[in-house]
Amino acid sequence: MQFITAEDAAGAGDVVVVGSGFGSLFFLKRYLELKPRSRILILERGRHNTSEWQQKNLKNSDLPETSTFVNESPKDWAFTIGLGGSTNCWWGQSPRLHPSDFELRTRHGVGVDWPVTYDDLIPYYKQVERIMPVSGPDDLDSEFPGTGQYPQRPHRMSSADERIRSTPGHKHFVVPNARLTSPLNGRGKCCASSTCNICPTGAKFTAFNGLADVLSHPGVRICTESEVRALDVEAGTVRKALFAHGGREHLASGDLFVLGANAIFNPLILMKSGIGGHGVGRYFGEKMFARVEVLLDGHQHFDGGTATTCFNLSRLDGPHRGQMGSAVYYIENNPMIPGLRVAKGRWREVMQVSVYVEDLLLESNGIFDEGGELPVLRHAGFGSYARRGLQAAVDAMPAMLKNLPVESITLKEIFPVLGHLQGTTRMGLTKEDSVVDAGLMHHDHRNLLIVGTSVFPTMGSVNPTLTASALSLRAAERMLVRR
Amino acid sequence: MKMPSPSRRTILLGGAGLTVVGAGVGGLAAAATLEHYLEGLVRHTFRRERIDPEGVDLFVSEFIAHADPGTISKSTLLARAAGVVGVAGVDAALSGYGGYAEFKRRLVTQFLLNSDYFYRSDASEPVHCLEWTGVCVNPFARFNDD
Repeated sequence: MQFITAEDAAGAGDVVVVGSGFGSLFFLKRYLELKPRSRILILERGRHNTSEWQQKNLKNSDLPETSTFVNESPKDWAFTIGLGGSTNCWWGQSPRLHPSDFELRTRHGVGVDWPVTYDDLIPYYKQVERIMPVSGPDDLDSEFPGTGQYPQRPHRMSSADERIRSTPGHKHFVVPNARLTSPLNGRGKCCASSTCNICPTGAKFTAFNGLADVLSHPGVRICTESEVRALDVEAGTVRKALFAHGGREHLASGDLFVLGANAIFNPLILMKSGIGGHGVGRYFGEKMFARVEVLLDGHQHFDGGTATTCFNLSRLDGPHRGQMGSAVYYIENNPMIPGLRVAKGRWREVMQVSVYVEDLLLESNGIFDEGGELPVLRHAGFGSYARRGLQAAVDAMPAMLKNLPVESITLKEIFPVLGHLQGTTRMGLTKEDSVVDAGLMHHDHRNLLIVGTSVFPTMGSVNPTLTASALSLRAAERMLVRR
Repeated sequence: MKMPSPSRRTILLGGAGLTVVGAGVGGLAAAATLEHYLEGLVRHTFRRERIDPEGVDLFVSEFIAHADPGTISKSTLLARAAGVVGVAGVDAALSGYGGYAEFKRRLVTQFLLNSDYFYRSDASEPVHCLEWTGVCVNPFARFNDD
């Protein structure tokens, strides 16, 4: 990797990329394949905290994210600041969004439709799954068409999963994830430690072990500890990025600008730059994350081969979405959190189920620039759409688990944070309804791309990473083909 | 069940002064420090097991070192209460309360997974504490190539 000083960054790139997480790096992956002689400047707010540093310090970043915003919400927000962004802290879950997630308005009469469809993304999903690579089962085509076979074989499910799958008509599958089941290129296989944010074996995909070719590309220069404050626009074209480094302000010029900060800082930079579009900073949110504890009578759990073994899609889509959120159940295989059952001889007779529930992205929830140094986050908390979805999901669990010896099912808690920030620079067909188009290009400023989950118009209930990465690959390809 | 790797099996203070800790914990009524309280709670919970007492000391040190400030604060209050009514008294009085149950669950789980409890070939064997590990802690995991 070629790190440069802020002084040297001024004219270091034809393409200036803000942030270095999934959105930015998957965009660059395809961009550099198509234009390998490009000069790229990555401006990253955080430091380069190596995998070794993260292992030693048992954290992903030296800069607490909570110091970077003012939270006036009843819930919390989490992300990682540093080179590689959230590729560091994520846990590797890599499902695709469901086809209906892209057509929520048309199919269910709520939310909005995306300007891209599931079918549009299939080839890009396949590419991301190959790059990471993703492990998964070969029977997901019924739910996610075009999945076929994953590059890595699936993780071993738990014996509880096997019993759930013995129910006729089940929708219980091994969850696709970017944690290796077979060693590859110096990366070890998953050890089921359930410490995936700081993976001890290299099994989990990160920017450093899976996109090192991008970060180390001869045309890429990286300037860390550089916080982009605003973009300089002349006659509708973005010319420069204004960034702070070491207490001083600097400028970096370029022909193309890619905003890949996150759903808080992408809109803040736009607002500080006077760049508009419908809903800049608005429609902010993330899905609900709840924990349900299942006490088992005589069944020993925790014998799967990775942190989260299976997901159940029985509430993923259906007519209920007109009234309540989609929900997906994840079967957890981690004996540490919240712990074993405190009963001698029955230590393992307990199973945690994480439930992710879709919420609607409301215009009233957002990121606000009130003139201070920090953005202000205002979110009213989870809405009734999500709460109804959670209740229905919990109510459906006895049927889902009927082949297990269940003693009790208890909704234990709704967590205040999940780490799936979405919305704030939504994609759409026109500038009257969105900020960027289907190719992630700003409607008015045609040399400005916005990548990452801030462009999501709706959230679905599964993890967003694979989709954000696929959108970036597609954006690079569409832009260069058009040019 | 998978057998532990040699490093996992590394036993600290193994075999040193094993003590049978019986059901009686009345002597712990004077527990006042956090360390003594946590040691007492481990021994009380596993009072029907033979456990390595020095290993418990080391486990408690590691538990405190890795605990969040909230846990330390709450367990310090519990230690004070235990100084009056004893570890068993506190345990009996608070067993129905969610916050206490969660705290005890964390402690017990950490003890189980940082000891050779699940690796013993015979449940009558003494329990030794192992080197504290934050990784690869699921002794029940099975893999497709097992």
